[in-house]
Amino acid sequence: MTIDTGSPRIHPAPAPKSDEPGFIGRFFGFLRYLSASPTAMIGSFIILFWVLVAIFAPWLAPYDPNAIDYVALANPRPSDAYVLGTDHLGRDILSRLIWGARTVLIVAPLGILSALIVGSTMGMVAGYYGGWIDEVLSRFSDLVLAFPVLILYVLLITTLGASAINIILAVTISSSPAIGRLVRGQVLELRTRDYVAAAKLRGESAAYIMLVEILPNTRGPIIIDACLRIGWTIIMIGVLGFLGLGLPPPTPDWGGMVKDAAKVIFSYPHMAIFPSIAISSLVVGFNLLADGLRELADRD
Amino acid sequence: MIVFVVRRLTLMALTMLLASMVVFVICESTPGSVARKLLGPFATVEQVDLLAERLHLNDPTPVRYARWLGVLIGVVSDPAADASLGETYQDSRGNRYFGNLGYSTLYKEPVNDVIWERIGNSGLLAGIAFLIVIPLSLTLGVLSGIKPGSIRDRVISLISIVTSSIPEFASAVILIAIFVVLLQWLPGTAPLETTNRWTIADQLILPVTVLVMYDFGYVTRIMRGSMAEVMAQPFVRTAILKGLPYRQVILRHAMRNAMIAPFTVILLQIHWLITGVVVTEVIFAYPGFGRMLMDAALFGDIAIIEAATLVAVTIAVGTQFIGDIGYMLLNPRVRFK
Repeated sequence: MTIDTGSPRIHPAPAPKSDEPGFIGRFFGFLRYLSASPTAMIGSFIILFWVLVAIFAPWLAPYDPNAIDYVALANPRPSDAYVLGTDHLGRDILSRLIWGARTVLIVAPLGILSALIVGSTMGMVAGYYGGWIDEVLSRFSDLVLAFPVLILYVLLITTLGASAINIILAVTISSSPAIGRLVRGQVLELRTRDYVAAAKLRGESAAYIMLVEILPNTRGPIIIDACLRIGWTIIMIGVLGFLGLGLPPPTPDWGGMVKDAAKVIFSYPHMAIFPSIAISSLVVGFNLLADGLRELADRD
Repeated sequence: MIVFVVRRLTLMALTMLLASMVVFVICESTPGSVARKLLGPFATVEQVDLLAERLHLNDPTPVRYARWLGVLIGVVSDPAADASLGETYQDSRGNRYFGNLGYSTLYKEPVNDVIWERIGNSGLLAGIAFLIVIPLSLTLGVLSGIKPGSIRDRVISLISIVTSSIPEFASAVILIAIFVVLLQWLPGTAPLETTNRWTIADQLILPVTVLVMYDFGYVTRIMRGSMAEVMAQPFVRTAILKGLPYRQVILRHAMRNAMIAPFTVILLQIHWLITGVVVTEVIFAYPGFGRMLMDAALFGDIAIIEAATLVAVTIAVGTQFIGDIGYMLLNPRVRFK
């Protein structure tokens, strides 16, 4: 015999018809938001172009980026076979540009993502708890920010060695303090809000309050800042490549391509100019997007 | 005010001390190679070991750091200055003096004989660039901030975004291709020695242009934002409505207030210029601080790296300090704390 304990069975409530759009819906919502600013639209188109190039690199590149054509060495200038010419080793510049997009679009955003995770954790903890934790983290940030960025990169890369992981690490170390400072400022303002007080009263944990109540509300300025930072990071990765501290050869790397080409610029300027244009256009894309997003945020 | 200044100066000294420590720890993870670098590839293992012993390179890192610091403030003499090691490492200033930065293993000279002239050269390059960037970007910023959204604003904004997106090495390469290779108007290197074809002024044109191109956009954007904000303030409307000439409103009411925010940004820009200076000097073979630092970092010359980092950190922290003081003097609403 079964005893009905009388406890009401909790039926899972039918999911309320949510107004929250799905991922695709959100993406189009974001596009609609962006469309109000031509600057942001142009910026996202440029970025989208390079992202597509990076994704479809194996199909788009006419040659293997590391294949050497000794015949082309005699005349590396742009020709019918090599639309943008070949480089100092007889490799197809167009194919190297296409594969190089993949390199830079993996390393730079990953570096910033990692810096965002570290930086916002630092900023949230410093802003939320205050006191000595804040003091220690702020002094640490001051210390890192006192180094000119390039010096920090060069020191770290010459010591650790040039690899994608070490570049991501260097980006994290140099960018997270500034991100932390930005987040801290936001948190200082947000932690006095009523909904944070309400969450505290409900007995939510500090981690929950920081991650669920505060973090989502700091995203506006952080996204704009991250766009600018990805642009700077692309420049810095290019600079490292140019100084010979970038990804080890033969990885196609735009900055490294300019470095190799700079030696022969008096004979073959095309070798240096095409990668320079590629890197500049991608940075322009991120900067235009950041500028447009700021314009839209100011309008609201 | 005095308490504030003293507190900030103490913090500055502390930051520099920590920074020198950080650099030491990063660079000195492989100290044994210093002796090898000094003696060259043909020295025997015994000779290398002996020199490492004489220079106390086998001491633990904290001990070596303390010795470096002692040499810097002049209480310990540099082990490299030991006369029995040879004549190469003699400092005309004596063995113990305040500000002894040690010996450069790359240039085989006391660091103090190497760095100051180069810092001066870099100062010349950055100084000229700065003198062009500031008036240019302030003017452009005001012109575009007066009427946000106008055609003029759009054009100036677009130009400043695009130029500040072009890395220095890319703009240098493009400028060299045009003005050196194609037109042959300018030299592609700047060794700061008059040749029979190019004067020093000719040699400076391209490096300065590269720095200006990259840097003016950012200050322009800040000035534009600040100006646009001020133009929307009630006091500007009042000034216009009370019938003041438009020129007067802009020059006497709006611009003075709009200058406050960019002031700190401009000073921080000096910090930013350092990166640009390194890249520009490497491209144009300019005998400056940045190229020296790159050479030293690639070679592993700790004494030069330490000295250069200290200089760079001093510039960074110092300009920030001046910026804070100036900001408070400009804006009485900010109090000293």
